[in-house]
Amino acid sequence: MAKPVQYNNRLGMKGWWGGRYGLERWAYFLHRLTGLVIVLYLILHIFVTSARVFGPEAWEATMGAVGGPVFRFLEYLLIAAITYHGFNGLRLIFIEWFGWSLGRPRRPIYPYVTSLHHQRPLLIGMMILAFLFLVFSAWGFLTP
Amino acid sequence: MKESRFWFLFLIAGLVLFLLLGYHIVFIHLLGNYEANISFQSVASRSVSPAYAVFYLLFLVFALYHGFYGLRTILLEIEALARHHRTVTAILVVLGVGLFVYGTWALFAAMKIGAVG
Ligand code: HEM
Repeated sequence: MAKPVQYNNRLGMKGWWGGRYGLERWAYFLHRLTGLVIVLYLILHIFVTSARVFGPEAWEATMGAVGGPVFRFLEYLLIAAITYHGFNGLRLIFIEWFGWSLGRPRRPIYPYVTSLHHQRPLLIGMMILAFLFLVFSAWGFLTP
Repeated sequence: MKESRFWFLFLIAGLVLFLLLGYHIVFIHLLGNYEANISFQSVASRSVSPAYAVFYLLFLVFALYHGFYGLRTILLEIEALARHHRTVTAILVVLGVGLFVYGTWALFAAMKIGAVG
């Protein structure tokens, strides 16, 4: 029997940002990017905040090193990343665990229906909540 | 344990993190006076509180598990690494447990600083 034709249709890691993607695919890309950023931050955060063990001077010196407007701005970006990841993550938990917005199972008879029109409102709703939280965060940052 | 179980635990951790991380961000980073919140005095007062110790311990476990499991998912989608999936998993487990041990040590060591602050 003839060997099946091999198409080189795999993008590999380039597929994270390549291709003609819809909204959900961008949501996935951002989720992955923010997830990576937050893990790296978590590791640093554990070391930085453990400076307290070495006494008040060590603590103040460490906080001084990561203080100032630049770090404060980065901190806001980090909160934005966590906010996105958190609300989008909640959406994924609703879909993957609770099975929300998947639509009824049906036979795959042409014309096929997609459950996207159930899922997209959930995505948009979560993004509105994330946006509201970010406005609240900006207020928290700007008021002493 | 089956892979799907580990994945489900990762989802549970995500849900728990939404609450723990939400609380942490709102009360440490956003509300109140930031400078005051991260002053040694304020940090020490939280460090000696048993309720906060429990909070931080749970936070540490769930964040490390969720974060490192997620990292593993990403790494194992890279074919070259998927071929050595046992090694990748072992390295991540060692790193994660190492951070957990260090964090827990810091947590307990910090409970004694109340006398200083
Ligand atoms: C705020 C609460 C959080 C929620 C609700 C949440 C939820 C989720 C969910 C549901 C996924 C899986 C996505 C999927 O199944 O396709 C995920 C992936 C991930 N999360 Fe979180 N997460 C949260 C916080 C965190 C934190 C604090 C970290 C870092 C320590 C983190 C790091 C990651 C990573 C690295 C991934 C893998 C991304 C991927 O596979 O593309 N998450 N998160």
